[in-house]
Amino acid sequence: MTAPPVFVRGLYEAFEWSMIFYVSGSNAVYFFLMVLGFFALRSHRARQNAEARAVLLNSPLLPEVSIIMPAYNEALTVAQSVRSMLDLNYPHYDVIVVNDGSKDDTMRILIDEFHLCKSTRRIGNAVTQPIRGVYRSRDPIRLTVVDKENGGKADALNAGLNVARSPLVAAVDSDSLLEEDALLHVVEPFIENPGKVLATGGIIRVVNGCSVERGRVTRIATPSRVLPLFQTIEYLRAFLGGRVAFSFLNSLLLISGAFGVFDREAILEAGGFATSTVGEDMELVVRLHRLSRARKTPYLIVFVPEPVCWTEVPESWKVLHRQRNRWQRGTVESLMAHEKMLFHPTFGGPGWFALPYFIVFEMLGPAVEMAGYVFTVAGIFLGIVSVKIAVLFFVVSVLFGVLLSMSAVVLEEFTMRRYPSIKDLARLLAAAVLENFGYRQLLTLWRLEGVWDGLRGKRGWGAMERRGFEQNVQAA
Amino acid sequence: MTLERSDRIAVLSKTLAFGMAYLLAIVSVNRFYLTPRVVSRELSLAMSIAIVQCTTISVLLAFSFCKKLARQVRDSRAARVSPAIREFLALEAAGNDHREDIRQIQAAYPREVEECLVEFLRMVRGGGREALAQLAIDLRLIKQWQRQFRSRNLARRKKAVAHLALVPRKFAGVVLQQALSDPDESVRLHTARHMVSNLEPGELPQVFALVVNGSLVARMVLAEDLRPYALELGREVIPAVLASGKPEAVRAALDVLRAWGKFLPLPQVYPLLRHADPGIRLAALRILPLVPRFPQLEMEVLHALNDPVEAVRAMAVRIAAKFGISNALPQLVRCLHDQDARTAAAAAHALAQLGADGYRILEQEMVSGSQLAASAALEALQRLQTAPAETVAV
Repeated sequence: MTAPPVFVRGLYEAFEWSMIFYVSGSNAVYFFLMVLGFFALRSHRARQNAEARAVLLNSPLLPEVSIIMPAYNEALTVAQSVRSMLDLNYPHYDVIVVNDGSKDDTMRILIDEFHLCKSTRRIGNAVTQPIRGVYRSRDPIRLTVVDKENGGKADALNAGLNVARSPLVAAVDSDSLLEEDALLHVVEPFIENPGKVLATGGIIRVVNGCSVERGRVTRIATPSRVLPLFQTIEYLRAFLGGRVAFSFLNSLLLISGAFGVFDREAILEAGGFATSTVGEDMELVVRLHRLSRARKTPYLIVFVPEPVCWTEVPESWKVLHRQRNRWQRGTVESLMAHEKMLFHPTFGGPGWFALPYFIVFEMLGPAVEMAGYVFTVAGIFLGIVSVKIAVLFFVVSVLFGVLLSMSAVVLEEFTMRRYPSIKDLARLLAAAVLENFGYRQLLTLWRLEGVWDGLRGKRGWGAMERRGFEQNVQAA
Repeated sequence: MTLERSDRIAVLSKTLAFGMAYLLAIVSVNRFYLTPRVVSRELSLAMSIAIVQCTTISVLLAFSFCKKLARQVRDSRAARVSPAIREFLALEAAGNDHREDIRQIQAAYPREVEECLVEFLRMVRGGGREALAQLAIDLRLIKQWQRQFRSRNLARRKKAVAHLALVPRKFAGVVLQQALSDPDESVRLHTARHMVSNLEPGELPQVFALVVNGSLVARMVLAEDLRPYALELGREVIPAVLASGKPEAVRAALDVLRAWGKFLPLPQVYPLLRHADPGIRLAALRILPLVPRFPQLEMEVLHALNDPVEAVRAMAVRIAAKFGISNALPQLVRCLHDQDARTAAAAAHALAQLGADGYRILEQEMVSGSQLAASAALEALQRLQTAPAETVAV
């Protein structure tokens, strides 16, 4: 094989250095976030007072909350989810289910299960797809159902906002289960910092593998299948590491759409959920940062590690692929919509740290990682990159992935301790290692595809195949 | 997750220190171990990163397993020895002397003895508690708790305070007084809560001062704890706060009264209905049904119905309905046409509760009123007929 031209070698050398710089930078940032998350979490835990929390539940001074649950083709889980929402340990709340033009039996199930009748409840001014009707239950339960034409999740949330009357609104996915005390936990920052907190988000955990009875998780366990197990690690890493740290820096850009509480007035002032993106959760949070920073009003957007929202994660590669593609598109759309915040002096932490982090590592990360793999393999074939260096580089990168995943598991073990048995811990630790061989690379590829689709402006959600909570558990 | 400034500084410092230690470990491994052995500088650096990462992973792994294992061992040990400890403690509380037995157990299982003793101190009152407190002194536990209170660790400080509040004040009163002025609010709150569960004469105003000067969370929590002392506080302490003229304190006291929901003889609430601060006017209006009805009530509510602040107007509407003030009908009709949807809805519900006259007005508004008024009237009438679950809270 002939030696490659000098400019190719030069190109490779430049690429190699930029890769080393990028990987070191990203590793350092991830590591910083994880360690910061660890110490912040421990400090937060030391401050917790479970007894005081139980007393708070009796207080009439607790703010009222409206839980908005958008539902689209959720016939399999909607009754159970609504029942679980109606059974939360919180004194003043109501539930608003928004049937977003479901094509299945969602609406009929809601009418039958909860004895709904038409209501004359006033509807606010936010523009949404036409409302077919507002229903309330004949039973003494605080449930309102809005039946509307299909307009997407953001549109459904806006319809819910129109009906909601409480000062706080919680956006909850209808395929999720909240723990009894979840609402109280997530409302706490609003009472700790009255008038300052705009939004709070809770931790999302994987329900696959757990036992669920009557809309409650009765036994917590790790999933036995590999795909949900890997996702369990991902969720732990994202929530306990990243979000805790971003929240600490008041630069949290994402409150998961599966469970977040917002100041209703703040959302209405900001113009409601954006219907033009599939990442309406992230877009809204970034917009809240932007508006508050621009107005120079003190504010907080907080992640609360305790409240647990259990969600069913995909068990098939196809559905996981669609989900990750959508998440990545949502990220790209949200970042592109607010790129003016980037390095702008007005926008402080979000503009100088969180947004660049998301752009450099979350948006461009997959492209850089893929380019790294391609160039390294090509370099080996061209004789420019030594196999030894390439292998070592790969090993270091994998080891770092393992370290981050393990740290997340250890963080969980040192602070929240939701997985009771040693067997669960062993499985999580094994998954933390194994997910770095193949799974992570595949996700990188899908995320890259998502970035591409996002830049091209591709729309649509793609269907999530539900199995139902109890079926899911039996299978696990 | 919101942390206080001192905690934030501590978290950042620890993070930076940890990061520095990690970097230092990589540099040290590279410089002192690999550089003499590996020729390529890049390779040596990469290997040192890999070694430090592997070591960290192994340590994390071992540590988390050991911690979990230790917890399991501790739990099973506690399950094994606790029944015997409890038995001796019960006998001790009943007046028998088993100190030597307990001391012997303590030598082998100090944690379990401490946990059981605290459990008993929470349950036992009177002479039994006195005996157990004496036992705590003999076992040097009170000294230990007093030492723990001086710790910089917040959780340890709170735990110490919780334990010290269980023993008679003559043993731990000084420390508790110090804890009530701890720089950290969560410790102050924790102390106050534990003092309330075992309150001694003269401590009530001190604890109520925390309610008035503390955060909303402290107010909410302590208000519930102080509920049994409402009447006592309503005699002197609360009237003094309401008359103090300090807006924050007054608002806090009104919040507490609302939280209690108890009828208390507090005429001092009436002057607050004309307070300059709309938050205080709103809070005073809200608790009006909880204080004795004075002749000026109707006049004050009618005045509040013209308040420039929407929230105050909406509350006045509810209060007018609550007291059945029929003279308020014209103002309620005006409020039904208010631009603020909340005031309009409240007015509609108020009219619905004011009997035939209000009912007739709502029917008229459904036909001839503005869209907002008509929809509020329709909703109020429907709710009145059918929905017990959706009552308007005052």
